[in-house]
Amino acid sequence: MSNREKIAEKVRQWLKPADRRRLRRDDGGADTRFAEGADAVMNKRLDRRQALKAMVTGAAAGAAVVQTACSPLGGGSEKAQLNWEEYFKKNYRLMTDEERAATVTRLERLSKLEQNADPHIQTTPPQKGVLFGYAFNISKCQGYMDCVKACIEENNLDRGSNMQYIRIFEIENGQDGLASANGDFYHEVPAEGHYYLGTQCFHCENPPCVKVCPVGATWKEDDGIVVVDYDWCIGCRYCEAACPYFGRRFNWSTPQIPADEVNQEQHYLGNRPRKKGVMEKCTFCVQRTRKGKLPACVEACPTGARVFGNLLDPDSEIRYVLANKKVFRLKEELGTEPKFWYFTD
Amino acid sequence: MPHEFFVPSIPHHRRRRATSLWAISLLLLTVSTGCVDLDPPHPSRVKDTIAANEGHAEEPEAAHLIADVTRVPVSLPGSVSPEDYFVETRADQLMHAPCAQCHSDAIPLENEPKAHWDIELQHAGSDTMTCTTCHDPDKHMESLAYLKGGEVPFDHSYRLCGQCHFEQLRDWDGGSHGKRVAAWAGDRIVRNCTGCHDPHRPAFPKRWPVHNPSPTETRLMDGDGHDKESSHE
Ligand code: HEC
Ligand code: HEC
Ligand code: HEC
Ligand code: HEC
Repeated sequence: MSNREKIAEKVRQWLKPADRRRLRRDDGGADTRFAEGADAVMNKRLDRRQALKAMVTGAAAGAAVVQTACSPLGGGSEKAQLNWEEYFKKNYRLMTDEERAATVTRLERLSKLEQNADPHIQTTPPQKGVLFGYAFNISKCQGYMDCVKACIEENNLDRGSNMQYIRIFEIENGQDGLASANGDFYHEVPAEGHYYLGTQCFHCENPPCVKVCPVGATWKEDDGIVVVDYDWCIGCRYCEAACPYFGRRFNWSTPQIPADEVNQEQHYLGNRPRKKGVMEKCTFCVQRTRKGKLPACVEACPTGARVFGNLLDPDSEIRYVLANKKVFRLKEELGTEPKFWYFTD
Repeated sequence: MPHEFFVPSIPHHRRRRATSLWAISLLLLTVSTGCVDLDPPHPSRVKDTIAANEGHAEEPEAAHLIADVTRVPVSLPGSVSPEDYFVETRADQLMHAPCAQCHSDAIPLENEPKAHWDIELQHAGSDTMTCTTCHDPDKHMESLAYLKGGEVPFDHSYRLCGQCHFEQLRDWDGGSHGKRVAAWAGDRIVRNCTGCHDPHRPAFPKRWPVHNPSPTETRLMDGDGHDKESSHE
């Protein structure tokens, strides 16, 4: 079996038939996505491997290239030099602290050169004894969408495609299935006889998206946050198909954000602006929450429907909800173990 | 055949309690039938992760995040509130404060009110609630009045509301009604009842959403039923 087939095979194992069909549907007919995806994987890998090999065999020459800024990618400009170094950096998880600091310095400098922006990109690690959890009160949400707006602004979401991590569904009272849930309402809320339910990335304990990623570009951190290394992602979209909750988003085009609206307080694994062709999703606002702040959606919610906190702290609000309310999670039977619960008063 | 998911019906809040029972029974159903399709080999459960790691957290320093929030310590009658538990102030938010500008004397309540035309009570019924249910006309207006007499400072109006809405007060205290502000770590500061509810007309208003939804993925689930398909394979 060729490498390419192996990868496709592995991915297939994790996909549900319906998801497979959905991917195919997206692609307009033929089951080409797998081939293309696997190609992308292989090409990228080969790219990296060949280039790295070239650098290693000509180690001295390679080092010289880097130092003198005469990169083969063109020009002697500082920008080309930085981009060249960025291209060969490691997966974030494998970087040493120095390497992380170095890529942050490069990325901040590149923003300056390319957009004249001054972002601050953190690499704040998970805290010991912290496991984030989230609860959503479906008897409180009124469908106002303040959370959606706050999320877009906080996380530098693409305004061009109206990208949103959060979806709010309007559901009729008494309905016994979510199939009829409507995520496309725009009228005065709350509508008579309806309730509202929000979804986003659930940061599963057993995230299927992580398992299917063929290049290890997405993983679960120790505080439970499932993150994406945007610079390692190859955009094959397997994770999108594997997520039973439609939690992941793909950048079909280059994200557009008005310069004066870019949130400059960023995290490497969080809200720093993404490129075309990579996956992204809710990160529980890692850039905020690891500093003690509430996620933007929780802070913006005027109804208190959103509860966030440390699951390992028995005195936290989230633990009060779990202990005292009737909670449930979506598709519990899949064993994904979301750290996102719903409850009613 | 596992249940794909379940959704309790959420009626208007007045009927809420009855249906939550329905919700539990459905939840139990989901739990009891739902252990079919587990991920191999052994998926970890959040419950176990919590049990294994619960303990002292190295919470991020949050003092600077809450520095600007004006607050007073929560004091609930009959319970000792922890030292790091606060509520946002209200007295400094009132447009008409200090009330004593005009209310140096007791208000003659036999007259029709000659002021505060903007305040129209839509809270319970007029047989239950008048201005003096919460405001004591004989005392100065700087505080609210308990039903059985005695004063409640504006900053602690949750105690006034809690006399009638004790379940909401309990959940507010626990953290499932109302909201924490500024930070999840460090000192706990919560929003006052009147930070969300106008005491004179406490229902949440209808309004337009502040943002339109995204044009893509507007259904929550595959309409054709995920589960059915996978069980055929
Ligand atoms: C600008 C002057 C002014 C201020 C400031 C003011 N009030 Fe009044 N208030 C009045 C007047 C005038 C009346 C009517 C008295 C009467 O009926 O004789 C009134 C009546 C009332 C009544 C009784 C209404 C009724 O239907 O009988 C209440 C309760 C009340 N005020 C509360 C307050 C509180 C609480 C504050 C401070 C937060 C306040 N007022 C501040 C002028 C004021
Ligand atoms: C359910 C209890 C309740 C009733 C009944 C009630 N009030 Fe109040 N009132 C409050 C509380 C609590 C506040 C403080 C609001 C806050 O924290 O923002 C308040 C504040 C006020 C204020 C100050 C508002 C401001 O922003 O300065 C006025 C004036 C007032 N009430 C007048 C009245 C009048 C007149 C009536 C009768 C028509 C009335 N209230 C009935 C509880 C009540
Ligand atoms: C004297 C008792 C009493 C006090 C004090 C009181 N309420 Fe109420 N409240 C009621 C009653 C009775 C209802 C109506 C309940 C119903 O319709 O089922 C009500 C209804 C409500 C509702 C639901 C409104 C709706 O239409 O959805 C809210 C919210 C509320 N109160 C908030 C408050 C707040 C906040 C305070 C404190 C400022 C407060 N209440 C103080 C008795 C009280
Ligand atoms: C973060 C905002 C927020 C705060 C703070 C808050 N509430 Fe509410 N409350 C809501 C929302 C949202 C609803 C549901 C909307 C509705 O029914 O109008 C609600 C509903 C209620 C109801 C109607 C019955 C129910 O449970 O649905 C009562 C009574 C009530 N609140 C009392 C209180 C009291 C008392 C406090 C303070 C101890 C308080 N609330 C604090 C947001 C808040």
